[in-house]
Amino acid sequence: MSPTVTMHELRVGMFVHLDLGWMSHPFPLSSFRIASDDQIATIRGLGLKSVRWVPEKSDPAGLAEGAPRAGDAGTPPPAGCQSPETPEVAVVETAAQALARERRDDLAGQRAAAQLAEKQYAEAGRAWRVASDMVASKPEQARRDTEALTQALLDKMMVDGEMCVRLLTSQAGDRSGAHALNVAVISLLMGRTFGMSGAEMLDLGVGALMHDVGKQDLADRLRHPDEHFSSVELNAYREHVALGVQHGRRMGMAPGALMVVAQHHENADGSGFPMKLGSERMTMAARIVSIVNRYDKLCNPPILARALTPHESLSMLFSQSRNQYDTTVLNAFIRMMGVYPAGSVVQLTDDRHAMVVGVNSSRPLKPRVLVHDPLVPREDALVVNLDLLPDLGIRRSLQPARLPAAALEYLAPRPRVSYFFEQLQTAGQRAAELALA
Amino acid sequence: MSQPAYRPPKPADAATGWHSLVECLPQATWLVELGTLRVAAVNAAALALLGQSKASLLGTRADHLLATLEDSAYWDEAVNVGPGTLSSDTVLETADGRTVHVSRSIRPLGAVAGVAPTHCLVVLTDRSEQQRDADEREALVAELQATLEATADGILVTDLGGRIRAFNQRFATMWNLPDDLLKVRDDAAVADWLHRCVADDGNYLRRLDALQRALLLSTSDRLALQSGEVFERVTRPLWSRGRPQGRVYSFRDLTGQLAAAQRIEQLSVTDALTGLPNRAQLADAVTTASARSRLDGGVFALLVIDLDRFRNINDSLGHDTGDQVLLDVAQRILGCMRQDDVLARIGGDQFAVLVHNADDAAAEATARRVLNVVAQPCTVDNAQFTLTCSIGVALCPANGHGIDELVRHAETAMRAVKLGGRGSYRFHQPRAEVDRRMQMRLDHAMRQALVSGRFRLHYQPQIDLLSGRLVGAEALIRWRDPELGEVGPAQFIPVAEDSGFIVAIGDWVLTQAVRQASLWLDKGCAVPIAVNVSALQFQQPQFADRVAQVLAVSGLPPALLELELTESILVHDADEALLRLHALARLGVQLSIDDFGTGYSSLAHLKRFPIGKLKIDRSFIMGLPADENDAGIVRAIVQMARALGKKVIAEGVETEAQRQFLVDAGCDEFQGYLFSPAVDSLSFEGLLTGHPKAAAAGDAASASAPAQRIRLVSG
Repeated sequence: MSPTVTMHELRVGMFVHLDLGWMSHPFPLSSFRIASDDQIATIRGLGLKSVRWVPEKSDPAGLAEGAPRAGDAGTPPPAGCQSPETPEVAVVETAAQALARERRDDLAGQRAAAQLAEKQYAEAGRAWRVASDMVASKPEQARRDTEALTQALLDKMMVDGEMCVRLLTSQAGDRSGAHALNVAVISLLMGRTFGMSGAEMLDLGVGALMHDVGKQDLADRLRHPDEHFSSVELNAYREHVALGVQHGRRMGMAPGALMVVAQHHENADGSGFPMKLGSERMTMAARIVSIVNRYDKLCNPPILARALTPHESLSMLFSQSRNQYDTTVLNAFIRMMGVYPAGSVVQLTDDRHAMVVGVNSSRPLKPRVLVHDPLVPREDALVVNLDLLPDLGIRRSLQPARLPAAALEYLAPRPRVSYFFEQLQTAGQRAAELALA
Repeated sequence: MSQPAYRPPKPADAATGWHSLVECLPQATWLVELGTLRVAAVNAAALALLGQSKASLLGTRADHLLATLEDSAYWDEAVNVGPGTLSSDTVLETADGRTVHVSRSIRPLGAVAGVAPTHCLVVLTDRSEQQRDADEREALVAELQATLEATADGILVTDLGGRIRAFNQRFATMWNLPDDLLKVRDDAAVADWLHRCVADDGNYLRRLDALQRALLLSTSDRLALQSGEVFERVTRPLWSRGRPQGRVYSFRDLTGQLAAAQRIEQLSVTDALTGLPNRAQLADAVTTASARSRLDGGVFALLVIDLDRFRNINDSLGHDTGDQVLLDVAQRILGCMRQDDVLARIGGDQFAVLVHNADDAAAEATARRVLNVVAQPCTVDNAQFTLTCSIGVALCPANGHGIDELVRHAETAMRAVKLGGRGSYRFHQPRAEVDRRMQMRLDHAMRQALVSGRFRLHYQPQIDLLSGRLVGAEALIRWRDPELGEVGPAQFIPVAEDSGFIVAIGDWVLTQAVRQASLWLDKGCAVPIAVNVSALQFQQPQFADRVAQVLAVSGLPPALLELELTESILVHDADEALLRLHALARLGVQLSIDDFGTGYSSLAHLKRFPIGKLKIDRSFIMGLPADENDAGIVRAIVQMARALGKKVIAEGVETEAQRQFLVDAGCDEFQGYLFSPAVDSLSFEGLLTGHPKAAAAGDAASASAPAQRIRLVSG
């Protein structure tokens, strides 16, 4: 257990843990090094009596004054006075050992980042469920909760540095919650790339989270359109948009958010419903949600056997429905998701199988992949950045079912894909900062 | 001599050169100018593949020509970041709307020494055939997979090294493979699991090893599992490319089938009522025991147990009660048997016991135990009664080996017990069982003998013990066959009894004897003549009438005819016998019991029956006077006869000591070698004439010196 400090002992340079859910504080991470007095003020505003801190990871320069003295509450010596063995160990470390250590650190970093994203996603999922359950009984409260959830996501997302999509490996949460969250997360990341304002982002987020709220009033079997639907059934299904707008009004949703709910099934070419609006009459937020919504439904259909891989879903959006969507938004979507979105199973040009785990937005054909290498145990599998390997590329994407058994087991693609976001950082930073998150 | 340094061509020149290069390439190729992204050159192969003219293709935008997501992203990146390489499988649409699977690679050209690339070379390889093959293969695999899963058998495919290549869900279910074994591909763990499942592991591993080594072997065998399940395992070598590549195992669960077969088997070898083995299973047990007996020289006994008068129970108390009694009896007999011995129900009220390692003494002990437990009073449906049973015993190997032979012998012995009065046991008498062929021959010869008049009668004198007078004669049959020679009655009478021919023989004897007595009477000698009557003869409905007729024809006074009956006549059906005996008695003939003491005469019956004389069996006389048992028996019989008011005659008397004992015991008459063997009628007449006193039955003068006279005769 790390030592604690009281609020008035906080100093710039301290590495602290906030023992709060991530939605309860505006910092991107729950563990970080305090960079400014503003941050100290924010922490003091959280209503905590004390926080845990890690002297070893703290910046000794900033602690010169006023830091808790060594020995207080069993505090170990500050970082500057580390035991003398450490440098010696570093000296005798061979190159191979260093490589192994880096690899270990990197793996630990990847794992820690994954765990963090899973944790945050699960928390957001629970928050969505709570808000969603209150829509009928306490509409205004439901709206306030949805806004709070959106704001919490924005707090983590609207920071300096590049954000990217992270593929989750667990399958926590219910399907409708996962869909809403997937759509909201990707839509917000899209909004961010379009440079939307804070208010616009809030509307986008609330609208995305609640775009299918009207389905609460539909019978289960009418919630997902089926090619066998009669026209009556199809009309009943389409009614969820209007029903959603009614809910949105009762909840007191902002007009921007309400427009997302109203227009999320409209298409740029006027082929959508219920109003058959064209691109020019759709709000930017609605154009975004329309694409993301379609994409997620292709990846995660109600009947799993019909699921397309992320790459197939994107290819389909691109080739068959190119006209249905706003070109700018679609291109931005592709840039963000990559040609091979995270979760796609691929075969590399050297014939090895791999799964895409991360996207390089500037090189959509060169994502980061988890490679099936029989010589490396699965738990040690390292992510390969194709961007750095000019001669290695993706030959094709394939259905997980077509993977050889060994590769299938190794790569373990999930039947449903869930997305969250994370800050794009160098591996070293990730390892250093997330190891204790 | 140094060559001049190679100078790369200038871009413009290069493009010109590349045009020719594009033309030369065998694959569909076109050149894209990076500045405009338009097709600058295209070869004939590409035109053929796309189905377009050169004119329409040149100048087309590259990202429109191939409009997939990847291509679009590539050209986007090429313009914004710089051209990289792209090599992937994709689909293109031809002018006439066909889709063609191709692999497409794009490479930038002309990047030399700091000069940015100016062109990209797009090369397409038609993968249609490859794709078709892949689709075909996939369809085939899917079909095989579906086939594999559609079968009711568990299937396992291994390679030559025994590594698992595939198995179906049924296999996993049959072997109850744990889920984690299914997820993790750990062949050793799966093999270990199978190994632990089978019951006979040593053999299993050896067999597996042998199969592994014999690449071409096709086999079919059975595996017994620890769980009690039984699988049929069929294996075939897996052939490919002309050589074995591995092995396919198919497992079929036979457990249910075997259980059903076992049930059927059980039903076919057990008796439905008692659950005891039936005749078929007894046969198996006897065959096994017999085979072992041949090997180790061991002995065993077969007892056939028949409940006495069981029909009465069925008739009077009903079949349900009868069944209860049978169950009760079966339990009792089981209770007095050794564990290893086999009790079977082989007929309605007939059981059989196979007694292992039993000589005659052990068999006798078992028979006595069975008699004892069956004789215990039993209560069924509030009715209490006592059962008896008759037991015939056959011994292996003494009496034969086969089940049929042993059962037949035991049954014959058992029937003998029935005839002898029931409620006892009897061993098979090997001497009576003449060789079957011999028996048939005898039977045939007997019939011939009767027709050809080869039977003749001898007469043995019967002497009054006190007076020494000849008081009668027993007619005894003799037979000399031209081929068989002299055949003794002990040889052919049992055969005649078996075949029923005894009735005809008996009738002949009766007729002849009566006629002879009549002749003697005509000559002035009133000799009472004794004739043996077999049980079968006695039971003939017209027997009494026949006797009357014979007497009438000959004119012999009935009092001079004595019929010697066996004890079995009296016990077989006492009431019926009584009627017949009275009918005979009314004719005025004398009646006696032959071989007295060997059967099971009831004193009550003896008292009621009009029997005038008992003949003590020769077996009791032989031991006299030394054998105390025999002496006791003889004395007892004599005293009993006295009490019942009957005369007693002893047969087989050969010594003076025996005669003296009989005199002392109070016996009335005797016959035997001491006086004379049976002799022909002429010799007998000689005896009669040589001893005129003897001929006169009423002459009391000779009574004073019987011993002397006898001594004279025998001397």
